[in-house]
Amino acid sequence: MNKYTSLTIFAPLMFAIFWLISIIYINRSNVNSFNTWYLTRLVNFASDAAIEELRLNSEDLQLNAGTNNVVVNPDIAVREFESMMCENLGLPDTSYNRSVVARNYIKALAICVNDGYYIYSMQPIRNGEYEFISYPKLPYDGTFDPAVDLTQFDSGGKRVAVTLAMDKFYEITSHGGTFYKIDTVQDASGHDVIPAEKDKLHISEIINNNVFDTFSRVMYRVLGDKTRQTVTIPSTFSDTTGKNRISGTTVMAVVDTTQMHTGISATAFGIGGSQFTNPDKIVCWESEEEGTTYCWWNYESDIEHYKSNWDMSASGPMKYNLFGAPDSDHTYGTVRKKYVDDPYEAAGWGYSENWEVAGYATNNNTSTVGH
Amino acid sequence: MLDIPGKFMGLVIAFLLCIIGPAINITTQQEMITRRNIITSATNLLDEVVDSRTYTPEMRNKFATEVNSYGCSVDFDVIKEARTVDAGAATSDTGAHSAVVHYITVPLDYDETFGVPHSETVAFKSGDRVGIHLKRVSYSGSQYIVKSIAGIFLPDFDYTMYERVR
Repeated sequence: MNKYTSLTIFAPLMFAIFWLISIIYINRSNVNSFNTWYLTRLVNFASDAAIEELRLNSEDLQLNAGTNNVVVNPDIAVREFESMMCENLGLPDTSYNRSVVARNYIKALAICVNDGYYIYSMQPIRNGEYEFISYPKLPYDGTFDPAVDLTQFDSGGKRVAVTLAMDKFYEITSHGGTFYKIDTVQDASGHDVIPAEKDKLHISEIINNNVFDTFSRVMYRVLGDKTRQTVTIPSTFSDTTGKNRISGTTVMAVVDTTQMHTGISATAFGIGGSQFTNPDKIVCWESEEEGTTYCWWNYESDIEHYKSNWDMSASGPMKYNLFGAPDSDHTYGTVRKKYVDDPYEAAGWGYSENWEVAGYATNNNTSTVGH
Repeated sequence: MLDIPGKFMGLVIAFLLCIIGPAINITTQQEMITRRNIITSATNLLDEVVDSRTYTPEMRNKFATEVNSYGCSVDFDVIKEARTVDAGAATSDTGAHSAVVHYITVPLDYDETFGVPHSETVAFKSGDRVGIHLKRVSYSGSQYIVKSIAGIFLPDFDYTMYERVR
């Protein structure tokens, strides 16, 4: 026993302990990273299934005149997500299992539709009971930047939200935590304002920051102090910010199976989405003297603007002045005319024949129209 | 030579830390890479079924070859769940029905005589689910050694994945 004995015992012992801890830690992190990767795939599958369900099985079969959208019920997407998650976690798809999965493993689920988004999480309903329900629909507002100059459109001081398809702005107000749409923002001549192309990217970033911010807050509240992770989707293909932008109907979810005693124990984030396509609809066709030529107009233009020029009182076919329209100041979108060669190609663009096809005379500036 | 037990203990600890520990880590890392590859192949198979709405024997054979090329034998089962909508009984005064969606597992045909999977193409409808169940039936050599020494570190290879057919 000399005076260096304790050092010669202590130092290697410490080394041995740290080495052992690092071996165990490396092993666990190998397994955990695989588990997280695997669970992310499962959540992505479930999100994709939820989007398909939303897209194909919306329950609104009414014909709403004047709208080009459809009302979807987000609960069917949530049900499909829970059901898919059950199967992926190895549980039979029963309503009891679905509620077990929703309560314990799905931490937050966001469904972004055209004019707002829903975020589902466990919330108190009454008397100490919790249930997996959604906040009231939240609009895409955020605080709009002066760089996106909306003041010229008479929105002065009002809170403005936008749709995901970027086809209108509308004013919103909030009352008791719920948002209400008031009216679409219109300019001086009474037409709906459409975001300009140059502003769309910027507006999209604002919307995305808003959605992810809210989603992160819900996640933080639900997961507690265990995480300060914010939710972003790293994108290899994005050339703007490195995040994938939400630009269509989207389902995002965070699933945490660390409480599961068997199977995969990880936390994962998955996303499924679809794209809005603004369909290029055939608005009208025009016939020339030697035959019939079909053409279509890009639907981005303000269709109401054109409808106002239809002459409903005339006793003959509806006449419509295409060229030399009241204001040729088409600042609201692009009007494009394209000729197609036969009815089949026209049908491919959405045209359907109507009774006005039977020939009517054409004029200099007016044409008979059907749509 | 004094302190024989101490020296022996030192030798055991050194062996454990410097040889067994890293061996387990390296094998685990390799094992996880292998699993990732297998799961990726399985996902590719599911994606193919989802997009084409069919499951052919060619797909099955190609997948079987791929998945067994990693040194361990993996058994897999493809599962088809057909989506059915049940109109349900009227639940309100207006006679409205509440539709219920069920997913029914449809067994893919097996040849009873030879016990081999089907030899015909299976068709899926849009909205059905296709699933795959992977289970490992044997290990490669190094995995077997690691498993017998430190089997508690590796989770079982038993994975199920489902996708919805477009």
